[in-house]
Amino acid sequence: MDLTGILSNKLQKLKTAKNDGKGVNFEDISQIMVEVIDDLKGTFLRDSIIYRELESIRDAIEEAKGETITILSDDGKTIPDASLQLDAVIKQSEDAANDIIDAACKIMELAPDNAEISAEATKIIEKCDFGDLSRQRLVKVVSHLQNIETRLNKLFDALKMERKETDEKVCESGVVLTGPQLSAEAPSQDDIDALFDSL
Amino acid sequence: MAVDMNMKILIVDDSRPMLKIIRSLLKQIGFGNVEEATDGHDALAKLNANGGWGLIISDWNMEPGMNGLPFLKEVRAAAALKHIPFVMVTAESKTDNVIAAKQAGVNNYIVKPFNAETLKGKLKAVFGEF
Repeated sequence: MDLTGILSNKLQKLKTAKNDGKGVNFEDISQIMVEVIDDLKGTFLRDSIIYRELESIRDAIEEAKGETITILSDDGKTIPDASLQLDAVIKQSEDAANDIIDAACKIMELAPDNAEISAEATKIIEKCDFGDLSRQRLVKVVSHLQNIETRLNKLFDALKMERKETDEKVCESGVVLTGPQLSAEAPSQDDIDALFDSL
Repeated sequence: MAVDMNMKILIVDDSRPMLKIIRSLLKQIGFGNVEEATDGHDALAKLNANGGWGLIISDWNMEPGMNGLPFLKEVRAAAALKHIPFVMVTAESKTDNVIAAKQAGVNNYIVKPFNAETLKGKLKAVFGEF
């Protein structure tokens, strides 16, 4: 209901009370004014530029976070999906880096007298710190996003805005894209083959 | 289906390291005639520009470019392209994804991460022994 409608309703209540001969006392007027102010708060804020900007920020965060971060649940506890996903990224990066380093070391062992091969293998080993650097940056980014999200959710609650809980991406064919699953949940290639062959 | 080890293969992925990896694995298996595209639109342009394609290997999630599923559907809808074997290589491993890809006409489905042995096995499933 818009502002005019809200005020009309309240005034009508006052008129009705007066017409009924019940009289209008200070407490009645106070109560109605409090209700008007509360209604106005929500209505005015909903129409305000600030409200629209907040909606834009909320939508932008939802797009940015994808699957990796969920908003606060109703009981106020953070669902730890972000940290699980981050742990999976870290572990995979570390495992990959370890395998690459082992392979580079093996290459050096196979050609110990070849300075050029040793130099190139060394470069490979040196660059395997990508996992650690990526992890550190990811942790920072996730932390920043979670902070922003926490603050915005508190503001959304105060303004009585709806929360959006979308961490699934639906592609144009109507199929949900979830990206790589966590190790404990992911089917093996054999599982996929069995499903594929059964279709 | 007999396999021509010199057939022209199009690999499609928005990740440059992934394109390098797939190219390298194909080379190990014996397929050296490989071209690359970075999403469905890019791939369709290359497919339509020249003929003689023997195989498409494509990622699924390539946004903001054209994803692998609509790309597959475009290929299967095009008279000049629909015969080309299409293998999806993707991190999407949920049942609905596999079903959707199969219904769209994919010849085989590989989940990431994968190795040369898996890729070879899937190509053998499509083409027969080589």
